[in-house]
Formats: sequence, structure tokens, C-alpha cells
Amino acid sequence: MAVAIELRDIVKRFPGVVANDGVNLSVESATIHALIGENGAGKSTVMKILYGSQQPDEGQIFVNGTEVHFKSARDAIASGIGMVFQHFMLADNLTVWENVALGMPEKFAPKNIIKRVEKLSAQYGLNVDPLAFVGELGVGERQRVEILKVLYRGATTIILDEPTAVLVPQEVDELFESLRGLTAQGATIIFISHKLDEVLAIANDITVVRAGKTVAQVKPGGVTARDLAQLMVGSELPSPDTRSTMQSDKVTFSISGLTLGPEHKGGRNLLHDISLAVCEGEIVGIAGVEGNGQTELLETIIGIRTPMSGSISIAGIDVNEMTTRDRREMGMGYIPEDRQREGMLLPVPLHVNTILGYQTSAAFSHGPWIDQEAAMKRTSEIIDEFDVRTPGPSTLAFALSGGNQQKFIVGREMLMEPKILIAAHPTRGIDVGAQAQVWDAMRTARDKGMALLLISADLDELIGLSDRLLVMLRGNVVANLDPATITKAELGRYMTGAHTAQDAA
Amino acid sequence: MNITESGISAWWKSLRLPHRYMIITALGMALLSFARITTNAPGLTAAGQIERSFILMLPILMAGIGGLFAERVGIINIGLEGMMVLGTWFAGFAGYHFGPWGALIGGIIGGALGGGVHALLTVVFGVNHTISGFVINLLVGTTGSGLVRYLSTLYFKGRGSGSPTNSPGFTGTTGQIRIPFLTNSMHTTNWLAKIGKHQWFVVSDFANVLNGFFGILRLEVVIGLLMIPLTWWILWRTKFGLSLRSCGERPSAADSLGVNVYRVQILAVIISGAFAGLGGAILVLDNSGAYLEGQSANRGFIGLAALIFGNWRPVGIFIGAALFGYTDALQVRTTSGDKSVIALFLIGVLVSAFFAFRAWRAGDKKAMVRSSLITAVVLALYIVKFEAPDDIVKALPYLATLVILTASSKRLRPPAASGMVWRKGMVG
Amino acid sequence: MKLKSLYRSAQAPIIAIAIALAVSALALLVGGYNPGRAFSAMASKVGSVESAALIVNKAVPIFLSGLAVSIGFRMGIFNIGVEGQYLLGAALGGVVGAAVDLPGPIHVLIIMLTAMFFSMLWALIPAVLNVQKNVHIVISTIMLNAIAVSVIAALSKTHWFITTAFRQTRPLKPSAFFPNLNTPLRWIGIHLPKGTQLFGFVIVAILVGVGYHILMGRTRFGFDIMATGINPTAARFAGVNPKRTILVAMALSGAIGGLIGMAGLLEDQHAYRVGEFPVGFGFAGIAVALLGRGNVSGLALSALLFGLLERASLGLSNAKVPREFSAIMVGLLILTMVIIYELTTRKVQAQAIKEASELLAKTHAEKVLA
Repeated sequence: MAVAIELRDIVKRFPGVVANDGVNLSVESATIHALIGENGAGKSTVMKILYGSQQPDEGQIFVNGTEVHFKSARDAIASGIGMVFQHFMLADNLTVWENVALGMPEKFAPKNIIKRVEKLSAQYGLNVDPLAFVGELGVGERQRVEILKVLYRGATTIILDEPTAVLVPQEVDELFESLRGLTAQGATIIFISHKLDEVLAIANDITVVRAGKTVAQVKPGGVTARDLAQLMVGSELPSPDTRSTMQSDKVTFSISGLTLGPEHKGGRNLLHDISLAVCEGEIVGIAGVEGNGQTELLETIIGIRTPMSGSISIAGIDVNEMTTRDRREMGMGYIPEDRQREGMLLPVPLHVNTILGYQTSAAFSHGPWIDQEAAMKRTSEIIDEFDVRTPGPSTLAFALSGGNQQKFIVGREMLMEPKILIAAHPTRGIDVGAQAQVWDAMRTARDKGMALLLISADLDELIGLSDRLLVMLRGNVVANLDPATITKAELGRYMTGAHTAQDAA
Repeated sequence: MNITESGISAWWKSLRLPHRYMIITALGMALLSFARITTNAPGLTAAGQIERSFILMLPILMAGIGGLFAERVGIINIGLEGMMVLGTWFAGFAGYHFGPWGALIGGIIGGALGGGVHALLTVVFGVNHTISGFVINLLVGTTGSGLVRYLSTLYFKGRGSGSPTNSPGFTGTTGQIRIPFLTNSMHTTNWLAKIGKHQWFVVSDFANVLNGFFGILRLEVVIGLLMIPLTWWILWRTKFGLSLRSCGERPSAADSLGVNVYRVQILAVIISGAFAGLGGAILVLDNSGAYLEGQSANRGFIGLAALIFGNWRPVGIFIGAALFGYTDALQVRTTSGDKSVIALFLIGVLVSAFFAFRAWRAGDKKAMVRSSLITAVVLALYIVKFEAPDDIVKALPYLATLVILTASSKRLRPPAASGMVWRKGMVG
Repeated sequence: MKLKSLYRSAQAPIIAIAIALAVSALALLVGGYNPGRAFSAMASKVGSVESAALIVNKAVPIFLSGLAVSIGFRMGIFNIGVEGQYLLGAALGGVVGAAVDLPGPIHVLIIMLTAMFFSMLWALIPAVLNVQKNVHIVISTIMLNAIAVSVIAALSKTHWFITTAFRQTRPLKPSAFFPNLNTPLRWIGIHLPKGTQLFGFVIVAILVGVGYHILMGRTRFGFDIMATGINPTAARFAGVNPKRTILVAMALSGAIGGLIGMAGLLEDQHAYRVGEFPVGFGFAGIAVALLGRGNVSGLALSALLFGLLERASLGLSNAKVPREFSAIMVGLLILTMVIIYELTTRKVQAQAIKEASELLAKTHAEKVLA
């Protein structure tokens, strides 16, 4: 078979870091080729180089046997290479066809563009309405718009960066179906991932990178997930299981009959009659496809949204009428969904970030005065105990990598020893080793009696860590499951509504 | 749920945008006419008032469109005021040397220069947009003396009637469009004016509006109004427009598809300044061709208010500018003892009563109480025929801006990336 | 280390001043003037003890205005309304001050409190409109500046004002005069020429400056304001009530704003004269806040720089240059300063990221070796 894409000895240095240090990749045409490696291994840099948005310091790139030198993404696009980013690059307030046609050098004729988009969508079974506004589409549809953009530009090689990170198992199956359809029509797919079971299910070939180097190219038939994991990290992958069953039945945190009104008049309730309880020393997990009310639930719990009815209480005390600050003072810790937007002050030092959320806590303030020294000391503790990689406690927060920012936030909230910790995606975006640390910390805290409410999109994490598992769908809690007996596939069916609560009972 | 209410709102939602605008205009006319008759304030819809409104609307409209180009590309432009001032100065200068058309072109160039500085600061150097705009205003001299005073001292002082605060001025206009039966003439009485004199409900008012518009139809009014469809066409029907809007919604998406975000932003901000400058030139033309320090009188900022009121759409900006232009004209024309301002109270009563009614329907008690209180206060002012001091009447455009923004601000949606300092390589 | 950081923080302003002077010289050349003569004529106006006192007098209201503006800046609010706030405060302070007859310090205090109160009320209008109705603060404050001028004009037609060469409030009694610092200066051997005074209000300005510094740097309230300014969403999740913070901060800003006109009213003019009372301090305060970056010593230095330029501009007419040229110099200075600040900030940030990522690479390498 012909080789569509070949990378030879790619080296890319950034100030202080060598992101790629000899990456080799050979992709046969009309196949699905997976590129795997843990976070920070250099996968994204390779792909940016192949897509022309970064230039290698050393090494060669061949497309269909001819050497190419991409100066920008435009050159890569001209050579038939397209990229679907992990974070979708779509403008919500533009229509699908506008997003697709953006930046095309062709004549601007809306009617023709709409027709072509419709045709492409039908040809590849992508099922997207070109006139819809992107802001109205779901995650799966948005991803298909991204694929349409790439196809519209005549791409024959499509790079997909962690495409399944935002999808539920059923959507993943649909995506894989589309990808197989694309290769059947001659397209070449490069699939970046660190989810090994998915890679084994879809890829024709697998290339593993570790610490900026290619360490192996294998066929899925000859390896197990365990083998791949060892190749990726040089050791075995940790997994989030081993649960202890020493929780008490003392309820630390409870919600009952919580209903949150609709965003716009006449719309559907964002949350409907939600009740749950978290006992001392218990982790309750909440699963759900993104956009089914988890964000709204979090914001209602912390006190940013006001519910229509229902109550929230901490250790038996009703906090419904309390402000966010009061709730925090009552012992509510909070690891937010979006660390940079909701949990950090990026342009200021870490020791200032330590105080954030605890301005009124006795740990950092006396009356109206802030105690900077205490904050400094606590910052050092966070750095030590949670292995935050930073030059020091006075480093500006934005200088840290995303994973280290996340560890810092987890550390900040944990060390305050809240009664109830609301943890949203606590390990999102951090590497495998750090993930294990955070899981350990959560387990230890649970064993010491902390109550944790865990909201996550990582089903392994939910199943492995939770003592009980609730599923949210369209603002309702639709199932209460035992993580010891549930499988990922089953959980996925509850999340998409294929199973109903009756089945569970 | 109330059936009739949801019926009306469903009907309203089913309408296309142009139809909604038409209905709003018709309702506005009826309201004005009602207020005119009940208060006996013919000045409210006199042809002269309308004619003034169209002229005074234009600078605000131009600033608003300028703001549209900037904000749709993601750059907030509070420097519009300074750019308009530059427009007035350059129009005064170019007009003195090259006549009225020179003034228009000079104004555009002056404004575009200001836009260029804003683009340099915000796009090239990444300075906070509001700070950059403020600095431009400061440098140009909207807040006291500045560049224009210095330039005037250099180039206007000692030439004819020129001084450090005004240009010598010139004679001549861009010209007038004459339409048979509609244009005012000395020999025959305009039939529209005849209908207007009868003071019939709505009909006379409508005739006056037509008469005010067509009676003396200056070319710059036509040019200014043509900018509305032109802007719509550029933004929604060209490749450049799509690139421009995408930069204001999601610059990284545009960048990832090969759109040169910096270039598009720089171009759009320069266009933005050019529109503000054109607005300034129109002010100069209206002032017998003379630049006068301070003549923009915050119209650049009012243009921004029109942009917000108009929900970042050309026709919306037009409606906003018309409202502000109308109050501006009223302020200019109102003399002591005039009842126009009192008639405005009546309109205020009806509008705030409508808001109170709507809040009651929606079950929003707080909003209902608030609107009812306002209704009561304005009604009281109307009943006692409160005569505002002249100085307060002069502040009418500013008061109107505040009131209208207050009544409309909550439901609006600016471009998603407006105000964001975007750097290549950023996620966002 | 200390010296190095001092050098670093002084570097940006020095470069900015040099560039601004160069561009100003260019503008003078374009106008057909001799920049050398103009600058030396300006320099000749400063240097005496008298000019030093006058520079400080000028800097006092500008510094106070800079503080009022900076409170807004720190929480991400661009409050252009200080101009209208202080003028309205001063006018009403003048009205009330003339209407009451009280013993010395109390009379002064009543006038100051009146001015602060009305200035605060005026500042609360845009704050409430923003919090309740999401009205853009830049636009509302500009409109309120214009409206304040109209309100004062309308007020001046009432019986509270009298007509002299201007419409003005009735002159204040000596009990409402704020004492100047000439006597203490004489104790330490500095003699100001007759007719020149050093405003006693310098003391008030210093006290407010210290208070601002403590409030912003050391208290929970200061932390809340800072957090809201940097990241309003995160501040909200951290328990800051954004609406309340905006209202309190704007009220505080307005109250300080009320003090801006007090040196002029209580130490200089002893009445509010329409058309004669000094205007423009509100805008100068924004400029100073931009230069000083919310830092009290930076604000003080920038205010003194403004006073200096204002004073030096008197020399321009000796070189036959229009006095307005100083306004251009100020504008250019701020223009270059905001650019240079932006560039240095970016440099500092890049440096911090580099340090952190070098560390990461190092520990990563250690891990691999182990």
C-alpha cells in the first residue's frame, strides 16, 4: 500500500523544552493510524508541525512520497491535509455554512456554498443542516461540522486530535462509523488519543510516542491495552479502583427536590426535582453527557444560581438562602469545571490564588485584614503535597502548565479540609502520574471522613472512585447505580437515555 | 400561561426582521401623533423638526456604523469620538481648500487616521481597547485642548474668520436632490406641507415626515442613508464581511482557516474611524462649512449607544440614531414655552406603562413596581406641565441616551470576542 | 536585587518619556518651531521654590482624581465620570458652605462631606444602572458628565448663585478656609514668595493615598476588588458578590472624587464660579491612573509629572509656541507609556512561562533518568 504521510526524525525545541526529539511516523493511505502517548509526550506538537501551524527545527515531511515544507496551515491544506482540533474552532453565532466557507479563497456565493455543504454532508452521512447556527448544535454535531470543514477544503488526510474526549460511548461508535466510511472512500485518518481501548478498536496501525520520541509502531492485533500502556509511560497505567466500604450513614450534604427554572421563558426546567445525599466518608459520582444540567447543578450548589424550589443543606443546616461566601464558610470546597475561568487569577502569583475563595477564612484573615504570610506558607504546603511543578510560590499563575494549575486548585481545596468537596472534572487535562496522585488524595480524604460529590466526564474515574453513581439526563437524575457492578457501556446507555431508571431498579 | 400573550409573542417571533422594523416605526409614529394632538405641541412632528432630525441623526448613525465595523471584528472603539473630532477638523481644513466634497473626503481621511492609531495600539501592540480609545480621545482633544487646538492655531488662525477654535468655513454645499412635487420650492406650496398643516392624526405627521425628508434633500443625507444597506451587504454578503465577523466571534477559528486576523482587524478599525470621520464632516457641512471645536459634542459616544441599542445590526443602529437624532433636533429647536418636552413626558408615560403592563403579565413583580413608579412620576410631571430649565433641555440627547440604554440593555448580545485582545497562538 | 527591580520599574517610564519628547520635538518642527527653544523655555519655568509649591498644588487634585479612577480600574471598570462627579460635588459644596455659618474645622468638614456625598450619589447612578440593567459604564459616565454640566448650569440660575463677573456661589466665610502650609514651611526655613501658598490639602491627599494603599493591598475588600477586576467569574465562585462590590467601589470612588475640587474651593477660589472653576481633573485622573498603574507611589509621581508639565507649559508662550502644545505632550506620553507597559508586561510573562517550563523539562529529564 502507498504511504500517504511520512515524518522522519522530527525535532522541535521550545525555550527550555524539547517537545519533539526524533519523531518518526509512516501512515499508509486509506487507513486509520493512531498516534498515542500520555499528555505532554509531544503528540500535539507533531500534529501542529504536520498541519503547518508550527515548523520543525529538524527533520523531513513527505506527502505521497514528495518532500514538503509547510510555512502555514494554508500550505498543509493545499497539500490535502486537514485538522479537527480537540477544542472546536467554531464561531457559535455564525451558521454552519459560514463556518465551513470561512477563509476559502473561492468566489463568495452563499447559495452555491450551501448546496455544496449539503451535498458533502449527505455523501459522508454527516447529517448537518448548513443553515443552522453552530451555537444551537450538540457536541457530536459540532464535531461533524469540523469534519465537514476539512472535507470542504478537499482534504484527503484528516488529523483528529483527541476526538472522543468529549463524546459518550454511543457517539464514539457513531464517529467510528463515519471514520470507517471516510477511509472506505479513500481518505486517510490520523487519530490522536490516549484512550487505549478505543485505539485498539478503530486503528489499523498504532504509533506510540513517549517524551518526544517515537518508541514503537505496532498493529492492534498483536498488542493488548496493557502492552500499549507500558509503551506509553514506561510502566503500568494506574487505575482508579480499590474502594473501601467504611462510610458512615451520617449525611454531610444533601439536596432535595431541587428545581431550577428555564433559561428563557417557556423553556424546559434546567434542573428538575433533584435529590441526593452524600454521607460522611463517601464519594458520590455524577455521570452525564455534557450539557444535561451538571453545570447548572454545580452553579446552584455553590450559590450562583437561584433555584425555583428545593433545598440544599450542609450537615443538616439549610444553606439555600446563603450567599456563595456563606456556603464556603460553612465548609463547602469547590473544584470548578473550568480551572482558568472559574478557579484562578492568572496574572497574579500563586500565593494570592491560595486565598481565592477563602478570603474570609480564619486561615488567611483576621477581621478585615488579609494574612499574606499564612497564605505564603499554605502555598508552599500545596506545592509540596500535591507536587505542583513551579519555580516557587510567587510564580505568576499563568506560567504553570494546565496540569499543574489543576493540581494547585485540587491542593488548595483539599488542604482547607472542607466538610463537602464539590469536585468537577478534578483530573481533566493532567497527565497520568498526576491523575493517580489526585485520585489517591481524594480517596485519603474520603477515608478521613470528607464527603465528596464528583462530577466527571471520565467514566473510568467515575466508576473507579465513586461509592455511588448517579446519572443525569436533561436536568433529571435518571439512575442511581452501583459502580461495583456497572460497565462503561451500560453507563453510557443510561447517559444517553437508552436505558431508563426502571431498568436500573 | 396566558393565551393571547403567547399568541402575540408567537406572532411577533414569526415576523421577519424588516417587518418588525416597519411595525415599530408605525407604532412610533402613532405615539408621536397622539402626544402631539393631546398636548397641542405641533413642533413634535413639524417638517422642520424632521428635517433637523435627519441631519443630526447622520453623525450618530455614522459613528454607530463605525462602531459596528469595529465591534464586529472584535475591537471596542470608544475612540470614535476622537475620530469624529479628527473628521471635523480635517473636513474644516480640506473644505476650506477644496470645497464641500473636499470636506467629505477630508473628514473620512481624518477619521481613518484616528482609526489607524487605534488599530496600531490594539491590534499590533495589544493594548486594552478601552484604554487605547481613551488615549486617542485625550490626544485629539475631546476632553480639553489637544491636537486639534494646536493644528487650528497653526492652520486656521489668521486665515479669514479662522481662530484656534474654528476654521474659516466655506460656501457651497454638496448639492440637493430635487424631486418634482416633493422638493420645496419658492413658487408653489408643497402639497405635503398642506396636508401637514391640517394636523390630522398620523396622516399629517406622516406628510410632515415625508416633507421633512424630501423638502430639502441634501446629498449627504442620501449618502449617509445609503451606508446602511451598503454596510449590511459588506458584512453579510461578502467574503471580507464573513472574515470580519468571524474575527469578532472566534478569532482563533478564523486564524485556523488561514484568515489573517490582524490584517482584517486593522482594516476594519480603519474603516470604523473613516465612518466616524464622515460623521464629523457632515457636522461641518451643516455648520456652513466651518469646523468648530467641540462640535461633535459626544456624538461619537452616542453613536456607540445607538450601536448597543441596535443590537449590533445596521437597521437597529439606524433606529437608535433616529431616536437620538430626533431628541437632538428637539433640543436644538426647543425654545422657552414650547410644549414639545411636555409632550415627551406623555410618550414616557405610555412607554413606561407598557413596560409595567408587560412585567405584570410576565409575573415579574419587582419590575412591575419599578415601571409603575416611573410611570407615576412622569405622569405627574406631565400633569403639572413641568417646564424643564433650558439647560436641562440642552442635555436632552444625553438623558435620552441614558434612558434608552437603561430600557434596552439587558436583552442584548454583543459579538462574542468583542473587547478581547487576541494574540496569534491563543485558544479562544 | 532591590536595585535591579527599581531599575526595571523605572526603565519603562524613562523610555516612554524619551520617545514622547522625541515625537513632541518632531511635532514642533512640523509646526515650524524650534524644539530646543521650546523645551528650554519650559524648563525655565520650573526650578524655583515657588514653582515647586505650584506644581504640588496642581498635583493634589490630579492625584486624588487618579485614586478615584484607579479604584474602578482595579476592578475592571472604566469610570470616565469622575469629571462630572467632582464638579457637581464642588458646586453643591460651595452652595451648602455659603448657606451655613459654623466654627472653623466643622465648617470645612461639612463642605467636604457635602461634596463627597453628592459626588458619591452621582457615581452611584452609573453603578446602579450597570448592576441592575447592564448599562455600559463608559457610555453612561460620559453622558452623566455632560448632564452634570447642564445641572450645574441650571443650578447657577437659581437664587443660590449670585452674579459677579461670573455666575458664582456666595463667597465662603474665612471659617471655611482650609489652612495652607506656608507657616510650617517657614519653620523649616522655606519661604514662599508673597501671594504663593502650598495647599494644606496636600496632607489630605497623602492621608487618602495611604488609606487607599492599605485598603487595596492588605484587606479582604481590596482582595475582592482585585479578584473581580482580574477574573469576575472566578471571583464570583470564590464568594465575591460582584454587584455589591461594584456598588461599594463606585461609591468609594465617588466619595474620593468629591475631594478633588476641595483644594480649589477651600484654599483658592472660596466660591464655585461657573466657567472659572478648574475643570479637566477628572480626565487628568484617568491619564494619571494609566501612568501610575493603580500603584500609589506611581500615581503620586504621575500626578507630580502632570503638575510639572502644566507649570512648564507656561514657558511655551515665551518660545511663541501655543500653550496647548503641552496637552499634546501629555497625550503622546500616555500613548507611548501604554504601549511600553504592554510590551514589558508581555516580556515579563514570557519570562515567567520560560522559567516554569524549564523547570518542568528539568524534572521531566530527572524522572526519565531515574
